[in-house]
Amino acid sequence: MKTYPVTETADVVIIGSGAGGAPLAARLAQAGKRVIVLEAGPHFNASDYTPDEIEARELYWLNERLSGGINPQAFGGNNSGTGVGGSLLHYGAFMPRPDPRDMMLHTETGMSVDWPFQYNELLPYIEKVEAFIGVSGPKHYPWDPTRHYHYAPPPANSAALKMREGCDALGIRHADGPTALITHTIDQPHFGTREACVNCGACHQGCRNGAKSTPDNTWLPLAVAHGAEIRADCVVHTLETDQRGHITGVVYRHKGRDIRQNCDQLVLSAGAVETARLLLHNGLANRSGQVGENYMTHISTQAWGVFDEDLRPNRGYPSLTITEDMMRPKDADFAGGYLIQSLGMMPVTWGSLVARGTPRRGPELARTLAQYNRSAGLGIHGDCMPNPNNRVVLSDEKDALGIPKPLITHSYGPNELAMHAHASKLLTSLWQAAGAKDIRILDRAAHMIGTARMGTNADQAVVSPYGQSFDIPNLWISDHSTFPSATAANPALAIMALSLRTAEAMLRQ
Amino acid sequence: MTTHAATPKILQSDRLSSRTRSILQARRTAPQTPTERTLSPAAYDTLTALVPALLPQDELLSPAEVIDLPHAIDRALTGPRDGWRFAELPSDACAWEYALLTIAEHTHNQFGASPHALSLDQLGLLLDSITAGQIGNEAPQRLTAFQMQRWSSDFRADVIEAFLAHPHAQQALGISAYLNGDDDTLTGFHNVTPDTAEAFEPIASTPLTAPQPQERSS
Repeated sequence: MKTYPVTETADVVIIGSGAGGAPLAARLAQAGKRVIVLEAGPHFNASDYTPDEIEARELYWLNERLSGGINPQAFGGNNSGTGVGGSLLHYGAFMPRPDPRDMMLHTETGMSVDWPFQYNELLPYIEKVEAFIGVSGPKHYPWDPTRHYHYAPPPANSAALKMREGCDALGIRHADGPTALITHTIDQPHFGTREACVNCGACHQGCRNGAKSTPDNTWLPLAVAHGAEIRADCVVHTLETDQRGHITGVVYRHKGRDIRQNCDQLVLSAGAVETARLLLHNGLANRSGQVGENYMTHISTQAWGVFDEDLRPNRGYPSLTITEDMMRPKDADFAGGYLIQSLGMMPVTWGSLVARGTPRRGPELARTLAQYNRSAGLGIHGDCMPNPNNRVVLSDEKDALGIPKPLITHSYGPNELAMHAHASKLLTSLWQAAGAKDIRILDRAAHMIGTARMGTNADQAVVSPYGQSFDIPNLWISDHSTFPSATAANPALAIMALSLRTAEAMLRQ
Repeated sequence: MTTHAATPKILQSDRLSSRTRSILQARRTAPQTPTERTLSPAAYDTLTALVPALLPQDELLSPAEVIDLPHAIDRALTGPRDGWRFAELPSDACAWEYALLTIAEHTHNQFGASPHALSLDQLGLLLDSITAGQIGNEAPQRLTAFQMQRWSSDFRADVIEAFLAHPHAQQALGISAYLNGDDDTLTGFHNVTPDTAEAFEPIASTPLTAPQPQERSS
C-alpha cells in the first residue's frame, strides 16, 4: 500500500471505510486522486473472526451511544461497525434493491418526502455495485423480471423453507432474496481468492472465507491498487476550516497522539450517528439546522415460532427467502410498505431477542430457550418516515477523547405503528400456516438512516442531491445520513450506489 | 482452575477454531475472588438471588454443569460493553449497582428480609413488578421505577446471553453454531434443512428440547 506523509495535503480525505467511503475511495483513486481513508477501527484479519457472538462484538461500534425515545433502538449489531470495511464486516448481506415508489412516497401519498431524483438515476450505479462486489439471487425475480444476478443463490435453510410453506398457503409470492455473497469461488482482482459460501450462518460475526461481499475484499483492495492509503485506528475528532469556512483538514487521534492531515476535499462516511456527531461537535455545515434531524430506522418487527422438526437456525445463510408482496398491501392503513425475509439466527443473538421481546421467566423461559433448535423466524424491513421528534444530538456526557457522546431519540409515528401492527398480524398468519407453535412477535427497529439529508433546497437539506454540503463546497457526505426517507430496502446497496455517484460528481468539479 | 463438570464434547470438536475454543474454555474458569468484583458485595448478593428466579438452570443443566452467571455478568461489566445504553440510565456498571441495591432495599422494606430469604416464586413476582415499572426509588444511588423498567431489559438480556454463550448450555441444548471450522478451513454446514443434523453436531441432552404442546403466546 502506498503511504503519504502527513505533511502532504491529500486530494481527498475520507472518514470511514464502509459502504459509504469505500466505493468512492476506489473511484477517486482510479481517477488518479491522492486518497487517504481514515478508519476509526482496526484492520481485522478475516481468518481470525470467531463465530462466538460475545467476542465478535469487536466488529461493532463500541464507543457508547445513549438511546432514548419511546422506541429506544438497540445499537451494537445491525447498525454501526468498526474496522477497515465498516459495518459491512458484520452486516447480514441481505441486499434487496430499493422500490422505485419508495423514493417518491410524498408524490404517491402526500406523506414522507420525495428523494431529489428518481430510481432510474440510481439504477446504473446499483447495477455496477452488484456486478463488482458479487450479489447472488434467483434467475427470475418476481417483482422485477428485468434484473439479473451474477451468482446462483445459496441453499435454502430451514427458516427459508418454512417461510415458503407459509407464503404458499396464503397465496403470497416468494423468491430467494438478493444476497451479497458469492456461491462459487473466484479470484477477486487486487484481493485474491474469495471462496464460495459454505453456509456457516455466522455472517454477522464476520465472514472467514471471503464469500460475503465486503469493502475489505472488494472496493478497498481496488482503491489501494490505485494508490489510496487506508489508515486504521484513526479516530477523527476535529474538522478544520480556513477564514472562508472551507475545510482545510482534519485532526485524528492515533495511538494516543493527535495527528493533522490536510486535504483539498473531505468526505464524511462515518454513518448516520457519527457523521452528524462530527458536524455538530465542530459546528459545521448546519445553516439549514437539519444536521442530526430526521433520524430514521427500519421497522424490523419479527415473528418467531417453534416447529416440530429439528431446524437448527444457525445453519445456512440466515435470511434467504423474501417477499416484496407487502410493498403496497391492498389492505394497508399506512403509506409505503415492507419486505419480509426468513430468519435463522445465531443462539446468543436469538436469546437476546427473547430476553428483550418477552416477559418470560422461570421454567417458562427455560423451556423457551430449550427450543432454539426448533425455532425459525420471519422479519420485516419497513419504510420509516422523517419525523421532527427523532434526532441525533450531543449529550452532556463526554467520551474518552472529550467529544460529547451522541444521544439518539427514536419513537415510532402513527405510520410506523400501523405498519408494525399490519406486519404483526401477517407474520403470525404466515407462521400459523406453516405449522409454527408458540408464535411470538418482537417489536424492534434496525439500521440507522437520515441526519444529514440531501435535497434541492439549502434551507431544508444539509447536502445537495450529489452529497455536497450547501455551506462548505469542499465537504461531501457519502453514507446513509443523506437519505431523505428510509425506503424499505436494507441500506447498504443504496449507500454504495450513491457513493459511486458522489465520486463522479466530485470528479466533474 | 476449571469447573468440575466434564468437558463438553463440543470443546473437543475438530470443527472449532483455536480462538473460539479458547474463548469457550475461558468461560469455564472458576470465579474470581470477591475483591475483584465490579459490583459491591450487597449488590452481588442480590444478583445471585435474582438470577435463578429469571432462569432456573436446573431445568436445563445437571448440577455439575450449572453456570456461575452472576460471576459472568459481573466480569462483563468491567470489559467493553455492546456500544450503547438506555439514555435514562447511568453507565452500565452504575446502573447494575444501583438497580440491585434498589431491589435489596425494596425487599427489606416490603418483606423485612434480604432477597435471598425470598422464595423463587416471590422473586419472580418481584421481577414482574420491575418489568411493569412498579418498583423504584427516587433517591441518590437508586433507580426510579422507570429506570428499573429499562434496566430489567438489560438484566434479562445479560443473563440469557451469558447462559447461551457458555459451552455447557450449548452442549445441553445441542447447539452446533460455533462448530463451523478449524483454523485452516471454514467448513460450515453441508446440511441446512430440517431434520438433517450432521454427525459432528451435538444432540441435546435436556428433555425440554423435545417438541412442546401449544403454549400461550406472549
